Amino acid sequence: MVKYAAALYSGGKDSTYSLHLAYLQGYVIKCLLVIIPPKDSELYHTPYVNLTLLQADSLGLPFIRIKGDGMDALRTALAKLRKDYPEVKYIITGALRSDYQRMRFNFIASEFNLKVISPLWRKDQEEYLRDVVRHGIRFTLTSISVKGLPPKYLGKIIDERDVEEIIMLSKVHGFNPAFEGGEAETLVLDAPLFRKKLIIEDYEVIHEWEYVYRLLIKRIRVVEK
Amino acid sequence: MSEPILIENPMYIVDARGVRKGSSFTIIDGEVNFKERIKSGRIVDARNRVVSIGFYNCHSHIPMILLAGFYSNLGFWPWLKNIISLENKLMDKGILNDENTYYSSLIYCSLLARSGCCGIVDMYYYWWSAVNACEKIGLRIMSGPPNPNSWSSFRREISRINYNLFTPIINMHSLYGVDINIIKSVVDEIRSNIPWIKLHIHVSETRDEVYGIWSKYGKYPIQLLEEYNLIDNSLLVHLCWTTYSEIELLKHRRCFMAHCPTSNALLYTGSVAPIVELDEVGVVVTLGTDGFNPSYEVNLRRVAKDSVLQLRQQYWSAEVSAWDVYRFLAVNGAKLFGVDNVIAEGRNPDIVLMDIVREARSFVDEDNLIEFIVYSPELTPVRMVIVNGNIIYDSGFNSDVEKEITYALSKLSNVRRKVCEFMGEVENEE
Repeated sequence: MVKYAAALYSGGKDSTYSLHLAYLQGYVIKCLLVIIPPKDSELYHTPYVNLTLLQADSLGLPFIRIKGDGMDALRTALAKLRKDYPEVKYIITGALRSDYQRMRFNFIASEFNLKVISPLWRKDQEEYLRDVVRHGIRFTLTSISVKGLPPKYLGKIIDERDVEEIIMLSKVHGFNPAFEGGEAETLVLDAPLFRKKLIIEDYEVIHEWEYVYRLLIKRIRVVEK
Repeated sequence: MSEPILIENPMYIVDARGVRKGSSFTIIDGEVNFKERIKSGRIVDARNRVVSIGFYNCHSHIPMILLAGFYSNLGFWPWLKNIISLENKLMDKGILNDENTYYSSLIYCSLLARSGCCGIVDMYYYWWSAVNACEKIGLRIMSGPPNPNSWSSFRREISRINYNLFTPIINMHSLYGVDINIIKSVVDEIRSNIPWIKLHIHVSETRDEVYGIWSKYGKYPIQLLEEYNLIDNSLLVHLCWTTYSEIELLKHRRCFMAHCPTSNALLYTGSVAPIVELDEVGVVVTLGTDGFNPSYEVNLRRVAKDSVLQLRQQYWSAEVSAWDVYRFLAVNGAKLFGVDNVIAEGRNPDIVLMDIVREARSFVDEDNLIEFIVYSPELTPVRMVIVNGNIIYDSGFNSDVEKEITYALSKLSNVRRKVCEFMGEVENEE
């Protein structure tokens, strides 16, 4: 039985790594589902979701892109998925510990008789972060909104040393090391399934207020690997 | 008065306190005594055996073994729909009746006792038949009429039972099967007469169930139970799709849950109950076989093994240990039944004796015994089960029970044939 799937994709580390794991578990990814939400969305990852077009190109996958928010946006995306890819039976999500995401994705998916696979669900958060880097997901932070996480990670590809430092800081300051509470947002620049990689050529770190920082990407390029 | 029993020279003793080297003890009227030797009674040579507190099956529909294998590859909802329809038709035809549920229950109970089971929580039609089967074998049972609608009918039903190891429980099927307001009013009415009685209910077994509750009430199932003050002193079954916000509500509550990993996996309900988190917040986690059965295998220790394997895979870690699962199976099961879970002077635990087979004997020690019990039931087979001070299983049942089991098997073979013929008729009609 071929397990055809679509991946709910935001371009961050969680959705990229869950897609990676689903691929390893034998799911055949037919397309990406990209929701372009408003800035303050509670359900979807927001910064640089527009770069998912470049990432989809890097992955060599087509995508369904819907502007909107909440359950209605996902409903629209799944209706289109059903029409364009009737063979798809599974949705891959990067839900880690957020029931808000997991259950809402599940509720809408059930309306379309789709099964939701969340390969990262309830995994140990620290081990997860180590695995992401260990398994070749190259990502940077695009925003920080928690006390204790320094802006030096913005624009930098996170390596194993950074991971250990982030884990240590998370213990000191009491934030989630995998940023499940929205402490930071991430952008994946390269991954084992990427055929091309993204290179940030010019950027600026914007200090918005107190401990809130944002990465302003001025120029980004896609190069063959 | 039960016959005094001397358990002589066991290799190890296991209970809520852990594993320790064994020493001889007597059981007189169910009470453990390490000092007194008996002058007459049963002497059990336990030299190559482990003595443990009993195991408990905390959720089941035991007569359903009669329908084992039917619709077994359909997944939860089609299976449930077909089984309910079949049950209704079989009841109309008089094939599913109290006699046949008694014999089915007897077979199920005998298989359970072989895997060290000392007590069963049950929910099914002709519920008294399961109680009678437990009485025949000597098992504890918690049960009651399914979906009672008032205290007076509940009282009338349970008053027909006169078995000292029977404990009534309020069997409400589910939040999708019974209206929450009815559940609340009946539970309150029954509890105003029996304050300690537990509510036994399926919760969050499938995604569709949770979606249905959420759509109807705008709440997750545990949130709904909390709103109606129905969490304390309840036995919540499955909890596969429980959310973190619901787990918070269960923190430090007097609440039990029955985890049914084998049934959940066979019916591919799509999510594994968050056992680590539930255990951490103080929910008393127990294990159950449930009613779905694709074959005739009934083995509580297999359920325990399935549990640890499934949870390790789910969490990608060894957070759930063999000891945790032993706790769920034995220590917490005993808590649910209100039975002592330590083998100590003056205490009254149920007892299971397991062999350590010759091939394993030199490899087993105090440090790995629990792993052998949980992961290798075939290397540590149950040889004796003692419930409430009575030996109910000793590599076989007493001759009266064995005779009844033999009769039950031949009887059920005929009933089963009738069910198959009947199903053929139904299919032809369709």
